Amino acid sequence: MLLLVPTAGTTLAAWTDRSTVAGDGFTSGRLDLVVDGRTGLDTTHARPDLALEGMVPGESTAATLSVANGGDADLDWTPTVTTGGGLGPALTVELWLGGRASADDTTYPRTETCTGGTRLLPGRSVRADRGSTRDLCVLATLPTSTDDAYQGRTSGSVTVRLDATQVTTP
Amino acid sequence: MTSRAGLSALVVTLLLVGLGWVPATRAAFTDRASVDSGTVTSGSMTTPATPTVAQRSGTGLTRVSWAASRVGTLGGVPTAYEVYRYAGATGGTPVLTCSVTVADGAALACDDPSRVGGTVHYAVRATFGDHWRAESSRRTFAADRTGPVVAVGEPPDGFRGGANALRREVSRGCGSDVPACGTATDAAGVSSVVWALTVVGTGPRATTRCWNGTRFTDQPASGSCPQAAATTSTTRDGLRWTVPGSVEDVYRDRGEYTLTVVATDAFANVTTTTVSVTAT
Repeated sequence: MLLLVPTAGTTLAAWTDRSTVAGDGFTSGRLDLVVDGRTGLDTTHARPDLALEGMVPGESTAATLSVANGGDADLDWTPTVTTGGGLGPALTVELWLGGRASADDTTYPRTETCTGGTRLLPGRSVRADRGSTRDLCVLATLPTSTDDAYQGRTSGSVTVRLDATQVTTP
Repeated sequence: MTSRAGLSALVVTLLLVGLGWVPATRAAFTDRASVDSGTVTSGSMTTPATPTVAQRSGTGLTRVSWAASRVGTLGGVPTAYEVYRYAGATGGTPVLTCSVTVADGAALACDDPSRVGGTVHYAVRATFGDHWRAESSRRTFAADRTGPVVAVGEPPDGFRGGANALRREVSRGCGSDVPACGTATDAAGVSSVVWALTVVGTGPRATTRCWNGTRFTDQPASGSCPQAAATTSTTRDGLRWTVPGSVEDVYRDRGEYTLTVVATDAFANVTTTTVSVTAT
């Protein structure tokens, strides 16, 4: 009887190798809604030409904003208008996309207007391709229907906020 | 085991997303820009000055006039003015009496057409736009709504007697050439006196006849006798009025004579007085 007894185990070792390819690094783009040439983070900027002292019913003030897409991607922007102060509830504000404000009117009755463009209804967003610029005319009016209680109000303001969102679908 | 569990979870998630059971993440960059107007203020209306109130000669209507007020500080003016009448100096319910829409050359005055009497209070309210208002203080005023005092000297009301006696009576008071006379007085002045003199004869077929200053004529079928202007002269207290004609011509026949005198003052206040006498 022959008995074979293994005296050593089977070798399972294998050769390996590794190769690493390194790029130059990644950077992110930015979304930048530029209003009146002001780029970067949201910091409210004043347009005193939209202010008016001593408004009486029927008078209006207007200003043209320049809205540009200065970022790296197309975007949609949506305007939100708020009025504040004691006179705020009485003010009506219209936005005219592509419109331009008339010249500064300093004689009674001061009736500045927006010329051209299309009325931008509340909640509607506007597509802005990368690198594009549009005019946005802001028209604030104290309507003839203004209540008697709004005589002599010493505070009031109009704020236009534009919220931009990157376009993620073509 | 850990890596196998993680791999399983990834596979399940991908399946769910692929089947649409879990919404895919659509992360996007955002940005915001804000523009502020600065301070916007409103103007106001100046309160109109207390109006001037006077009574108009001729019509007697109460005229309210006022000075222009302002809206804002750049030369704005009200679009209209309304005049209100109140029963009291304060409070109370305003009654709109008249209004003026502002236009080039428009007079800032209007008349209260009501001819209301007694003491009332007027205020002018400037209006602008649909709702802006500014009201003046009130001016107290009492219009003259009293007519002249008319006295008929002759013939004496209620006289009843013979025609001769009547003629003597009238002649004694007015003179032989005047069939009726009297006075009319008023603080504002008497502007006119008119009269009508009729006689109704006796008997079942008697008719009404009208004195026209010269003779009697039949009363018009259409109605009463026409009125004619009296002859007047100024006295210290007012006017003396007379009816033209002669006593002999007027009070010639028997019958009932009726004289109606209507006096009007400078503010169109009217007093009507009637006297009747009977010649038997």
